[in-house]
Amino acid sequence: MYSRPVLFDQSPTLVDSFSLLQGRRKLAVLFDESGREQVEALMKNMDKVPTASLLVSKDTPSQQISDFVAFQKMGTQICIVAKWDTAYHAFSLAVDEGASEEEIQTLIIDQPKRFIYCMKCFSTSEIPSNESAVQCQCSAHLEVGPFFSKLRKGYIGYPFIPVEQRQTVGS
Amino acid sequence: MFTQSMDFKTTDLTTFPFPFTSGNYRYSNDLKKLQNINCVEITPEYELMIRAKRRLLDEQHDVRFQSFPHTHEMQWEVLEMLVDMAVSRYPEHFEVKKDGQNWTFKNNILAEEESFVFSDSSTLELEPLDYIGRHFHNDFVMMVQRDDNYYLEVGQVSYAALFSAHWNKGMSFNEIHGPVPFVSRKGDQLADRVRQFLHSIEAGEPWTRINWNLMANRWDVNYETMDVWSPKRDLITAENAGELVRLRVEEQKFYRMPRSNAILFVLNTQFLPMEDLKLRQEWFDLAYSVLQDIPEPMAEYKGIAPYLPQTVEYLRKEDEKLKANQESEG
Amino acid sequence: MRVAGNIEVKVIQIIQETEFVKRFRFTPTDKLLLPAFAGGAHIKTFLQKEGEVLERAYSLVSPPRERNFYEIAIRQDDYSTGGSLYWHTEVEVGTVLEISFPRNHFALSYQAKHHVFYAAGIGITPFLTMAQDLEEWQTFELHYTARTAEQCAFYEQLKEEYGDRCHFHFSRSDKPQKMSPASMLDHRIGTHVYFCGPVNMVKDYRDAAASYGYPAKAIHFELFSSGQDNGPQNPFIVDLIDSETTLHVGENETLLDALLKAGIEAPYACKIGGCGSCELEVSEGEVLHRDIFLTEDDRQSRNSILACCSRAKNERIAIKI
Repeated sequence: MYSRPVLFDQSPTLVDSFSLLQGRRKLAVLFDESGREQVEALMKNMDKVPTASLLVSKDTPSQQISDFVAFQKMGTQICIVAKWDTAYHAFSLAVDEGASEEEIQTLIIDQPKRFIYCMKCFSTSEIPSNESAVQCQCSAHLEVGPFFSKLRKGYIGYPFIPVEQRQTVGS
Repeated sequence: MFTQSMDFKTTDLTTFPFPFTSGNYRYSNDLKKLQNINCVEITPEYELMIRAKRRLLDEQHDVRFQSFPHTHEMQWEVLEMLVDMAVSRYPEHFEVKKDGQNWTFKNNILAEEESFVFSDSSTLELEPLDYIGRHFHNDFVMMVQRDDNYYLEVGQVSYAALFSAHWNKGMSFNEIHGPVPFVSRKGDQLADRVRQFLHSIEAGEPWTRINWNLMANRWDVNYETMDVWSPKRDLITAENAGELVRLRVEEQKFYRMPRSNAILFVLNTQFLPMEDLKLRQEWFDLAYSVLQDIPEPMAEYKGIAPYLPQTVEYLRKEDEKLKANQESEG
Repeated sequence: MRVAGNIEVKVIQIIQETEFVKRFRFTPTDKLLLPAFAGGAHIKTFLQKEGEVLERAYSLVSPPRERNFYEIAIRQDDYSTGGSLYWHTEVEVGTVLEISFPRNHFALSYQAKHHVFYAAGIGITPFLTMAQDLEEWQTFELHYTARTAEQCAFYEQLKEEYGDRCHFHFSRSDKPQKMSPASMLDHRIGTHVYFCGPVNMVKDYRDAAASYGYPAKAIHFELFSSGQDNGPQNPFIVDLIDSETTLHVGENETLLDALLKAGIEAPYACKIGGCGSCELEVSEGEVLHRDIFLTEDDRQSRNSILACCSRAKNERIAIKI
């Protein structure tokens, strides 16, 4: 279903530290090895509500993650603590099970990845950190625009011609 | 190679939807109940616009028509509405024969006839909205209500002004208008305000508003061709602005479709070169007054910042000439 | 195809569903096809009664894609202000009336993985069409309370079509089974809940869902007596601070009407509380909000009134214009 949320660097689910949202009756945590310490500290302080957790690695079957989420009741807060790639994967499986951005908090251990969608060749590629312009594999020069598409899973890449090449502009 | 021959302008000034009613411009959503609910309109430029539209659709189909596979039922709903409107308003130009689900639609202006089974997309070469949309000079966008927002699920857009059916497919109303840097008098985000308004549009009660922009010697400006048209904006001077810069007016009509719960946007886009403003003195005065009043962020947002000063300078010179003439005559 | 205005229809069949519920079937008098609609839609009906027009809203219960006729189901309400009583006693086969286009303020969520419908009494009506319009990845269950099986409209039909997805709660049977909001504690993640019934029932379920941790977006409701969109039209006095004048707003006019009549250039656009154009700052007095434009937060944080539909809560209010 195309309009489901995706995890990106401006996702409203991204947090620096967890807080139990009002009314939530349970905490369900998905984490990878890099997030273990944070999760253990979180669990220690979480005496208000019951908790459940699932350690996710590269070898964890997607079905196992989906089942873990699907088993939860409404009123559960889903927490994801992991490096970007794992978090991204777990996030998309969680929203496929119907979890909404209002029910998920995501804590990234490394850095979020950003992607750009080329308006020339309609492909998505990663934006090297902090770059505001990139060259696509199709050789188009792209400026990173402000719009994000959940369908294309990236920021809009505005094609432009670098100043030194402008003499050769075609029609 | 894709070309944009800008050989089109509106000649029928009585139907040109001139957008300005006062000499200053505030960004607002001046919505009105639609009086003539039939959106089919045949202008003197009908044939020229249809040919251009079809050429653009054929040359870059992915850029100008997009849909999701699940939208066929809602596209048929729109096809039915447009066919019935066309036949009802212009029976001499359009005819339809409905034998149960077996329909034959005739366009007498273009001498075309097509038979198909209503609701069966396999009997049409194109998707239903792509097919019927090619008989009208308008752009069509279906924003489908899903939960609290509206999502672009079908679009046939050949007159884009900083838009792309391909890019905007699947995006919500707020995502499409995300970085609009404007707020209303009360500080609401404009996009939220319009979205709230869309909620109150009911089937059977269509609404309308007018949007405007300038165009620098182009038919449409898509995101896909930004590298081409963006540097060309710098070529506008006070000397050529009268001919090359056009007032682009987009009359928007909103229909709530009962079955799909979508809002159908029907967009009638017309162009008037700056020099033709002089055909009506009050239009010239209003346009000159508004354009010299546009704040910088608004010009940036509309994509006209690189050539707005030259355009205003052109109008200033023309205004001087007009006043000089009046004085010498008086 | 129809595009605008109201539709004239003629009643062609009346079916007694239960002791108090009648189902009415009508077809358009001009024989043109009716619009298909989406699950959860309702229509407004306009009945002529002794020179006045009775305007009421009822959920459609005919199949969403059926375009030859529409059906509505009406319970004769003890507290009827004339609408349901008139429908039950005066409307017969052959009666001609006007209806609006289908409208939908109670659409299915597209995000939901699982829908749960809670219906009290005649509040079942919107769910009949919603259950027919689910996406293929979505499931549903229905909780439906009535006094007895005999008084439970569409009981047999629901049992037959949806079987064990329906949970009936009969409050006056031999073994009374009360429907309770507590069942919402058990719904899986990705559930959206929908309530339709009397005001108190809807309020109880809304409050319960929020307290169980349901996000606001997962909670949907429609009041089953949505027949009248307008509450009481209390007259009030309004002091206009900037204009240094005072106006009386009568019971048959809106604040906006009164302002315009007095020659005040008040801004407005849609006139149905949807766009916010007519928002004015309130400097004194409480507001009875009737619009859909301002959210609950807005109402708290912004001291303002939408002149086209909202009114003073008490007899006097002061606004800046």
